[in-house]
Amino acid sequence: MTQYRNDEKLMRRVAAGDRAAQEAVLRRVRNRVHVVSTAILGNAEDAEDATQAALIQVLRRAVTYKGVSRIEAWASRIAAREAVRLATERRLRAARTAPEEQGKDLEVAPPAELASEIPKHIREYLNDLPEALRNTLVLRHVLDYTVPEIAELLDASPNTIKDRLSRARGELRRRIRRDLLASERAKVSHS
Amino acid sequence: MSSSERELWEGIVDREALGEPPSAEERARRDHLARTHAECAAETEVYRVLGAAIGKASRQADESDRLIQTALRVNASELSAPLAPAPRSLRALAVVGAGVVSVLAAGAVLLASRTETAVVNPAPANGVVVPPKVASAPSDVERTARLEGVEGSVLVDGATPGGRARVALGSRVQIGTGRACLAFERDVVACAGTGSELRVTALGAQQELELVKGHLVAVLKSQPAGSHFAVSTASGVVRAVGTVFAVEVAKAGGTTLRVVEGSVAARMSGVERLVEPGQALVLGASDTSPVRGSDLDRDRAVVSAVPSFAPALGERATSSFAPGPRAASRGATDAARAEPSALALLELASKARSRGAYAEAARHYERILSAHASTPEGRAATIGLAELRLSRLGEPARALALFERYLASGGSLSQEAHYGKIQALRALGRAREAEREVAAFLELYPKSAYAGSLRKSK
Repeated sequence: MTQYRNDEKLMRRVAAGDRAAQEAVLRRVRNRVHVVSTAILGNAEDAEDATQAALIQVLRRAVTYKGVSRIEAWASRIAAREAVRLATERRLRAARTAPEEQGKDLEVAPPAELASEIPKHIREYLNDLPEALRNTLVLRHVLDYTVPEIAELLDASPNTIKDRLSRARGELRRRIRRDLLASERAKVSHS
Repeated sequence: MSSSERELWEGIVDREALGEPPSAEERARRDHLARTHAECAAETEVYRVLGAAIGKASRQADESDRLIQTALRVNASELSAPLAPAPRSLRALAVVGAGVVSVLAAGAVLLASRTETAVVNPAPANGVVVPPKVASAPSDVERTARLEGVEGSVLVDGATPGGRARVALGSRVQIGTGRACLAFERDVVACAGTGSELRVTALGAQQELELVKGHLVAVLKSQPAGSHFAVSTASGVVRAVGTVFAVEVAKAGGTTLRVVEGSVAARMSGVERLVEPGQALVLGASDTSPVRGSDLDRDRAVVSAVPSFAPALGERATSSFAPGPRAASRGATDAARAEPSALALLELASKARSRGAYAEAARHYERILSAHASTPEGRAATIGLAELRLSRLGEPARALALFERYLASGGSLSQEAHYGKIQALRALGRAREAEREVAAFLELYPKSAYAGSLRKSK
């Protein structure tokens, strides 16, 4: 079952408390963990919190690593779970501490600051999506996870994930078409 | 952009998004549409930009050692003081600083939540920054299983355990002679017999044991949605949500799964397979066999201690192993709960088809249609089964019924269904009806990849 024997040996040392091994692993996974956190949370500060939490989890969970994927891929899944959990906690907390917000649909995420390198119109498309759809879309199209992997990460069935993905893509498509149509109409009226 | 072009575009890119690679022809048509239609180009660009964001984000990663050193420090302090506050909360509270006040204001609400971290003593008012103690829902690391029913020589992490010892994530349990059980959360008990060695590899929603060697019997109540209990071995993983089953690793290394009640999903080399009660499966083999009475007797002996510490599960174990007709009917509910997903069945059908096991593939498709008919997999299975019946099983009439069923509900594979209907009609010798359908097809999809061959065959 083990495919990455060297990685497994390294992680055994991590689990046994070997500080040099721990540091080496954290250096290997740091960038990937940061990327996953940023892609899901967008907000730089939240992403840093999630990165920190994920790095700690990598050490805590070292004993569960089985060598069936590279350490980076294994750590990415930990990071994705931490980021999704943090996003959910922040959303719930925001809703609870702002009673005036309670009338609003809690399924709809508050606008998040997505990574600045994503053009504004795409950021707006994503911000318009309910959180569950946005997370699914980001995990699939930004982080390139498969449907079963997303299902595992978000603790949902593959069918639910496929449904969310279809709905997210459909929503995005509708907005793209709407904007294209508006732009064409503007051109016609201008001319 | 015509509606048929739009349908074609959406069909190809949406299936691709779900993980189904497009054929060379579909890729060509997709690329053509992206070049010739603004909305396709815009959609492609959105996903390209989203995908590219990851590369840019990685260049922005914090290159300093700060996060790494903090993680190492927190981990080291946890090892020396296992009950230390949750590190994430520590750091988060340190980061937000004044935000602690607002968190405290919401404390009453947060305490009501099992998933939220609750602050139980605030920072002192003298201005000295002291990280507040926090009580959080137990992390997987903080969770433990309980060692029960110990008989004979048993070691936990190399040491003889005390009575009712707690076994943490990562712990190794070795049974020289005798037996021992681990009682998990949510009414899950796993007992192992002489010569067994196991390791706790996950606690929480997904509870998991690695059976390194020996013989293990698990008894569990129906698990809540999203939770399961799994046993992994070198050969594969078996997973259940509420059942009675045994896993045995032979000295030569092979793994055998025996299902006593309910049903269990066995996964090996990426293929999932459902094993029914009364059946045994050697992981990696293609066929199941009936469970032997002598094996059941050995399984029963391993779980005989369960009633003493878990009466409800003990009753279940006792009745499951009771002589007489096997409790298949008792396990029916659990069997339904353990039914593999539509996606897993679709994968099984696809694999069976690719190795030429067409009858088996048809059975998998039929299971999808009976349990998941309205899902995307259900619609895909309708076409898959119809094509199989038409081209491989020589059943054009049944194929025709399936193609018509698909066309009645509509979907992104309508073109394929329509084309299949024509082929089925021809195979049935209903030439006139087939011709009418060809004319209708060409009117609906004049630029279809099938159009050329249909025109020629008219």
